[in-house]
Parts: sequence; structure tokens; C-alpha cells
Amino acid sequence: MTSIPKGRTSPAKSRRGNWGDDTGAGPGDSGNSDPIGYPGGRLSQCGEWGAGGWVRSERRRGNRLFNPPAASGVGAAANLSVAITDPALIAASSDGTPGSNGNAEAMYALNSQNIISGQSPTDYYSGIVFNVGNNASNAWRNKALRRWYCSSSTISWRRFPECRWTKRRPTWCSTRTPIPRRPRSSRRSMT
Amino acid sequence: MRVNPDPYPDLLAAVAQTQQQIQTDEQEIASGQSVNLPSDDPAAAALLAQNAGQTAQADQFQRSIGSVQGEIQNADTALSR
Repeated sequence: MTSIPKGRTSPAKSRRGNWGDDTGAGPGDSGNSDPIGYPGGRLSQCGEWGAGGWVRSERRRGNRLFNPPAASGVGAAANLSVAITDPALIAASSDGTPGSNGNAEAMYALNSQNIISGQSPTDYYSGIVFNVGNNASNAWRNKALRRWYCSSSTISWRRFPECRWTKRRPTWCSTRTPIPRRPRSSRRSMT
Repeated sequence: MRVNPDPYPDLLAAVAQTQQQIQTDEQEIASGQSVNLPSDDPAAAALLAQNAGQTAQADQFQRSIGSVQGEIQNADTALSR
């Protein structure tokens, strides 16, 4: 039995299927950055909770679904593993009565519940994809823009606050050469 | 009229940008997809991630329906004998 962080739902309460009124509060909201696999996190609890169900084919209490990670904190989810290989061993019944599928329904409901930082798993993953893509796009654009700035001779670096006094290219430019002065011939052509 | 005394850096930058755009277009043509990386269109990539989840869910629904259909047909066959 894993220890439950302060403020978490107790495993005994979870075994009774108390998943529908979830408010999204989890280890991720209390400073833990790995809310899924953390001992006491949702999947770990699901594994513990599965141990309280019934195996329909054998009419006995089932084993846990997941092996909870031993480590806590960042990276704990990577150590989470599935404990069973036979789907028939999933404790779908919550009370052992014929036709009961309380456990299966509760597990399926995890998909749409706000269990990770107030978001459903799909929405949370979608947000990660967006942030990664946005950051990569911005980084590429900034790099291209800076490269253009640094190679450009038409930009008046004196107009940049950070270059006003040094009259040199900004510190983020790889070339630290002074700003080239326009030839006199071109200065005359200015209107 | 303003004249740029040294236009080559700007020209080279423009050529590099065009090359990058051509490379991106070639990648889109080769793959047949407009979004190959999340950075191509972050919003579209996020929607694609959601769609992938929903597609997997729909596939599972279909498998479950097929399984239940098989069970019902077996039961029907047994009852009709």
C-alpha cells in the first residue's frame, strides 16, 4: 500500500467508486509535477482501487492493475507499469454481482474527468503539444529575425536603447563589429 | 530616395528565408500533410492531438460493439436451436 500525500483522497474512499465528483485537485495541484504516476496519483490509485474489485471469471477479488512507481516526483510516471497481461483479469465488477460493471465504468470515466491540473488527460496533452509547438515556432522566428538583424546594414542600431550609447550591435549578435558608417556618396543621396 | 549601400546581407537573408519556405513546402508535398511538426501550426497540432484521442476512442467503441454483436449472435443462435 502506497502512502497518500496530505490532502489526497484515501484509497479506501476511492475503492467505493468515488470518482465522479472529482474536482481536479490532485498531487499536481499541490506542487507535485508528476501527478499521474506519483504514488497516490490517479493511475496508482486506480491500481490500488482495482485490487478491491472482483474478477468475474474467478469470483474472487482481483489484483492491482498497475505497479505503482517506487520513486516520487518528476519521472515517476515513466516507472509506472501495467501489472496484468490478461484483460479478463480486470476487475470490472465493483461488487461481484452479475452484470456489475462499476469498476469498468469508473475507469472509463477517468478519460473525461479533470484529473490533471484541472484538465482531462486529452486536454492536458493537447496543451503540451500546443506549448511545445508554439515555443519552437517562436524560437525559430526569433533566431531568424536576429540573424537578419545582425546581418543587416540598414538597421540603425542607434535607435535601439541597448545600442544607443555603445553604438554597437546588441550583445546577442554574434558579430561585435561596430556599426558601419554609410559612405559619403550614399549620404548625399539621402533626401 | 534612400539607397542601401550594402544590400548583400539583406539579399542573402531573403534567399535563406525563401529556401526555408521551399523546404517546408516540399516537406508538405511529400507527406501530403500541412502540419508535419507542432511548430508548423501549434493550434492545429493541438487539435490533431485531440482528434487522435477521439479516433482511438471511436475505434475502441467499434471493437466493443463488434464484440457485443458476436456475443448476441451466439446467444441468438443457441436460443434458436
